Amino acid sequence: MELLYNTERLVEIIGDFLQSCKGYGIPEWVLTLGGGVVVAVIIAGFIAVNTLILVLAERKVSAFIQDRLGPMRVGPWGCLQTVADALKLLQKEDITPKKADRLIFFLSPIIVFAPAVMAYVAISWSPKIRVADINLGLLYIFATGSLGTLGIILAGWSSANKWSLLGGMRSAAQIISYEVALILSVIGVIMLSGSLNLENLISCQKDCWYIVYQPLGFLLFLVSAIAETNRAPFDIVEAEQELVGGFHTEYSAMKFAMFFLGEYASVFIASALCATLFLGGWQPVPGLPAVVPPIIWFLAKCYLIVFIIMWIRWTYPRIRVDQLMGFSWKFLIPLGFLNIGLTGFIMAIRG
Amino acid sequence: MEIAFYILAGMAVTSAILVVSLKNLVRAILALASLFLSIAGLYILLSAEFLGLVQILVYIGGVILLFLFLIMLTENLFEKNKVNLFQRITGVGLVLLLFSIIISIFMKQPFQAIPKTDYSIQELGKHLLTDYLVPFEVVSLLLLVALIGAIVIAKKEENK
Repeated sequence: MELLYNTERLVEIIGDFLQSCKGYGIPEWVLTLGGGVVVAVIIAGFIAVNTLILVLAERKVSAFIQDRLGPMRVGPWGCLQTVADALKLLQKEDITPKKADRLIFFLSPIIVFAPAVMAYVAISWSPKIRVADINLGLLYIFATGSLGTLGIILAGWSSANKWSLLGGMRSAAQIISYEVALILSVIGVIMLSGSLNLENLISCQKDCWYIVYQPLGFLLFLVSAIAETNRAPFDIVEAEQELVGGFHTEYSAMKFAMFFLGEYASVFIASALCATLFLGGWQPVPGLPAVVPPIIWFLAKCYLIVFIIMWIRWTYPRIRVDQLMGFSWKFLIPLGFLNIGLTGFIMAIRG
Repeated sequence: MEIAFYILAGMAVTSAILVVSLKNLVRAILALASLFLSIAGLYILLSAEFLGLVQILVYIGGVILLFLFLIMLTENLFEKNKVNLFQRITGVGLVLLLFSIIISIFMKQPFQAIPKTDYSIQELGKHLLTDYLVPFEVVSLLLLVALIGAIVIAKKEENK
């Protein structure tokens, strides 16, 4: 708790320091660039630590759902297991297949990971902690999301392996279908608030969270977000039983770790977006006094959504390839249009 | 700001040259993605953020993904089909024609600085549905026709 209060203070100190630097004749672009590097390092560090926590959480959640104990050996209650796994992954040999397109094989993990880092810039963590107040923040996060999938498809193609190629092609088909459903699902929220700015979206939910007005939008968003982040039951991109490991079959060591980091980073971004759009962001439950700092509220909501996503993963079987596209085009997208129509209708009636 | 413009413009020109000169199709598409990205950056630099972000969403998230999807299905497309002399001459002729049309339009249009305005999406939406309603609907109709055409062609293949 104390640490999180100090985080807010630290952000202020960094901001003040950068402001005061302007007085010493340092050119502005140096400051902009320096600030950018500092922010990127902080975000990458957060993603790495957060991934360690989420992987452990995933293993523990799956274990409890399947009535097992999960990792127990490394550290008390197995809590150092993922740290050990990460250390092991760092020491592994970095293999590139002989027939692979070396340049694209090298670039793909970066193309997956970099946009995930970019998306964190727009998130509003608390009233004081946010990197950039982007006017079209919501659109910006969706744009970074569509950049990341490029990396997955290129990884599948450049591995020169038919299973990887199949994974990449499935990914292209899946992302094109579910991106439409994802964007349609948030239009109701945008209509209610009249803004794409995450800060405005949060302040509009001061009295009542949008999940109350947009229950259908929330469900549609959650389902499409799970599909967009390639997680079970929509993980046909890597479907172990059919495609060995899908697009990352040929990847090892740090490059493999980059895909892993990218996946968990985008799962967290999807949860953060869900918390911002439908659960009131960093605001406490309406009516409760603001005792707990806003960042704790925000992280608690994010981890709640992450837990729901994991819960779904370990409860439902994987959807079949031929069912996948139909589910989006024939079910999610019509419901998305219905949601938009209903929202517009009710807004018109109530003025 | 000027530095950012030169970096982005340099990136755009370099990737545009790479798109047409690279032999490997997937690498050429990657260069095309980088071209779209730098043009989106230029839009954002001109404070047309909406246009820039939609450029990324539609062109990289949609068009490039479709290109990649198609190229994965048709391997070694250009190694088997060599381009003959007639195709070369037609290609060069068409490119020169298009280039001269664009230059002649540029010559007639005197360049001037755009007054700094606030491009909010509210204003954009209002303009699209009032002042520019007819062109907007015509473009939507065109897209719909293209969509129906694609479905008709795909259906024919299935019947064979």
